[in-house]
Amino acid sequence: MRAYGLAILLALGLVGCADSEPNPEAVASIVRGLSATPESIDPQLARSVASAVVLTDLYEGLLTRNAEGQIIAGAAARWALSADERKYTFELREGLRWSDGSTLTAADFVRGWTTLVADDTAAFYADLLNPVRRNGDGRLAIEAPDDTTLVVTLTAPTADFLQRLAHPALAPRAQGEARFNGAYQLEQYTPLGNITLVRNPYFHAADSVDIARVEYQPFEQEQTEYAAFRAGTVDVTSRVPRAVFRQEPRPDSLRTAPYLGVVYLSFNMRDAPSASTRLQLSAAIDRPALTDTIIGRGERPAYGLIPPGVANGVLPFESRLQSVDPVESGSQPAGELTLHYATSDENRVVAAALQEMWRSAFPDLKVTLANKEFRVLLSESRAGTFDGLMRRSWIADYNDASQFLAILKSDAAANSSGFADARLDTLLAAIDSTNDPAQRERLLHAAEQLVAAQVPVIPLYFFVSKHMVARRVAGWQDNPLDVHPTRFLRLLSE
Amino acid sequence: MLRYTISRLISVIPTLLLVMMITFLLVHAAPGGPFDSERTLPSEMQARLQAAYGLDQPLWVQFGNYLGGLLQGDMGPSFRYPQSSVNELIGDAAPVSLLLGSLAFVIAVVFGSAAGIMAALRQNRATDHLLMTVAMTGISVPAFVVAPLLVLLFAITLGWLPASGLSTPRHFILPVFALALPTAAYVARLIRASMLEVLKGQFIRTARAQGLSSRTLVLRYALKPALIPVVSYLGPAVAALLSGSVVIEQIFNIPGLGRLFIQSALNRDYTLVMGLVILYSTLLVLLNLIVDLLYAVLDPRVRY
Repeated sequence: MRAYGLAILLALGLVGCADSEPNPEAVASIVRGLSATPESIDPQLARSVASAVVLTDLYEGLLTRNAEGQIIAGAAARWALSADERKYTFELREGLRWSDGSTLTAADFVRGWTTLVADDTAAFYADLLNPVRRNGDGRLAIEAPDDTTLVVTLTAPTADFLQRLAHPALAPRAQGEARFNGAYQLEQYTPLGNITLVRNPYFHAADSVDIARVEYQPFEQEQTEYAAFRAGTVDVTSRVPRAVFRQEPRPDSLRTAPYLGVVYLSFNMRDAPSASTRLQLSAAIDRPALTDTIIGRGERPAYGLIPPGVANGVLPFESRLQSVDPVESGSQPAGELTLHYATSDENRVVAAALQEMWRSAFPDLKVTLANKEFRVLLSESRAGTFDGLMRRSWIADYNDASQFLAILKSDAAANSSGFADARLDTLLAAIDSTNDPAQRERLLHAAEQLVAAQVPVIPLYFFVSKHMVARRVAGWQDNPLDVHPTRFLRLLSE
Repeated sequence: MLRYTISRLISVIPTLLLVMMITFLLVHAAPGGPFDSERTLPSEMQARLQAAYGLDQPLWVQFGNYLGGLLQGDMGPSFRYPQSSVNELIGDAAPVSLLLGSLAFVIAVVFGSAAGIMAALRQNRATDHLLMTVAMTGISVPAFVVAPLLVLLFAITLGWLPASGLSTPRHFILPVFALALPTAAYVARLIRASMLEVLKGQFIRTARAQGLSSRTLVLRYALKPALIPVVSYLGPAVAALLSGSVVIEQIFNIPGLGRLFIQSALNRDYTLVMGLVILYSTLLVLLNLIVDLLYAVLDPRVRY
């Protein structure tokens, strides 16, 4: 009996325990969820989107993005392009410092970029610097003639070069211990747990940073993250469970916006059905029904690979593909077809819907669904051994239209279909090497038409970004790259 | 008994070696690799990464290198976390799971045995039926149903307790309870059955005839032999509790070993998988040894 009384007292004591966390009123701080545990917070070693979110707060490249996702001056105050369009000269701001007060110079950028492309770094994003020329000894053609000037020489004019510079992989690198030049610096980090950042007093725009402290919590499960949001312990979530979209009325905290990513089905062109069959399969899909009814989160139907509103140099690109024309004559698809997809709820629903659409359109065609674990799918895609169709997706690293057609370049690693067309390769090379926006637009349209006519892939829909943002957080701007640096967020006083 | 213990400890090594070999082969046989991602890497980059981590060498060479490192106490670099070693990652996750598991173990044993003993002493009365119904529910309802329900009730609706994380003592309440419940329920049922069995024994009747009628004295004599089946069950149960419950850790977002198990397999983080398997196997083997030694303590008829 006494033991029970003791146990009950102990339990009550634990419940009544005062929280040892700091009073949230004293320091303006928010909690943001991440969709996975970041594998690294070293800008040149990081591989995933979750890491990039944290790195955006810790580091600033030559250029950076504002709250609307547009490229603005970052560490570089001014830049100029040479007459032959192959040499960029960047002038860094005056008085740049690292988070420990030491001076930040152009040599730090040289060090960062060199580390990125070095063999032993084995960095995932080394190809961002492909447009930069290599010297005779294999080193990058970048120089720092003085502490505040950086000169970059390209092999050819590259329209999307400036867009790349905002990527965290191109951040500067301090010598020795890790230091930070972004709006925030690291206070606490464990590889598996939460990451706490505090305001960096040496940031050149530190006065404009409202939130003093941000804690990133990785959530592998979206339901757990959503529960934490509802309980009030997380202010911004990294994604939203599907069930929330069915709530009437839609919650105010739910923010969705077009996102630069496309979901498509890839044929295996090494052993694919005829072009007429491929066209008919594409035409039979009711994309608006897929996006509005079956998925229903605001995704948009995709008839081409390039999302509307993505930049093509300076102007936003408007695709001319509105629908897939039905094929008038020719035999109907028949036989067997397998649709492979990675294990997930959403993929299963979409795959089932597609199977149904094809079944009703082509009674002689038998469509089987095959779901596989994500990495198994990727290894089959890499080896080119899958039969039928595979559901894939592609998300842009930076805001440029050519990113989306690059997956069909014959030598691209991301080319799961094995599609190889010399005309497309030529077009893509021309697109990459011209700086004239009108010319680029013409070439992009031509490339889109070429792809649409041959159907190596069937585009399905374009992504939307989805977050729950607590009412006390202001300054959240929707943007197509889904980049939301904490420095542009504010807390509303209660 | 000491000789028995030492010979058991020595036999751990071939067992572990076999487990490691099988795990190594299985994990490398799974299609896909640690560097596959939706943003596919160019093939020279893939080749460079494979070489950097020694994946381009034949399997037996890789296993030999791994064993060599293991003998020096190094479980290798993580394939997914480029700046961390497996030692560091397990060192970060293990204390969390150990703490959670230990708390759950204590709660499960204390409350489970108390409930089971009470039920046994009041056999077939209202208390017994009530306690055994609760125990049955605790065993039948899976953790991934109980835990979200607890979160919905206490964290979201009532707002009394936090929904995830482990930063303050209050954060421990829900996960420990959810983790302890099935084990406590099982212990309760086990100890009730075994207690009833023991109470029928001759030596108890003798003790009662000799005047030991108080309930406490009966417990002192009956409890030790009644605990034997419970101890058998608890050996592997403790290993499971200490190495982290995958479901509980996912639902409460706890950075423990359970979550690491799943993630390392899905990420094809070969070295991390090996490290975790070694840890779990060692734990299991050691706990089984402890259980066998406890038999000698609990039952004077057992001699090694």
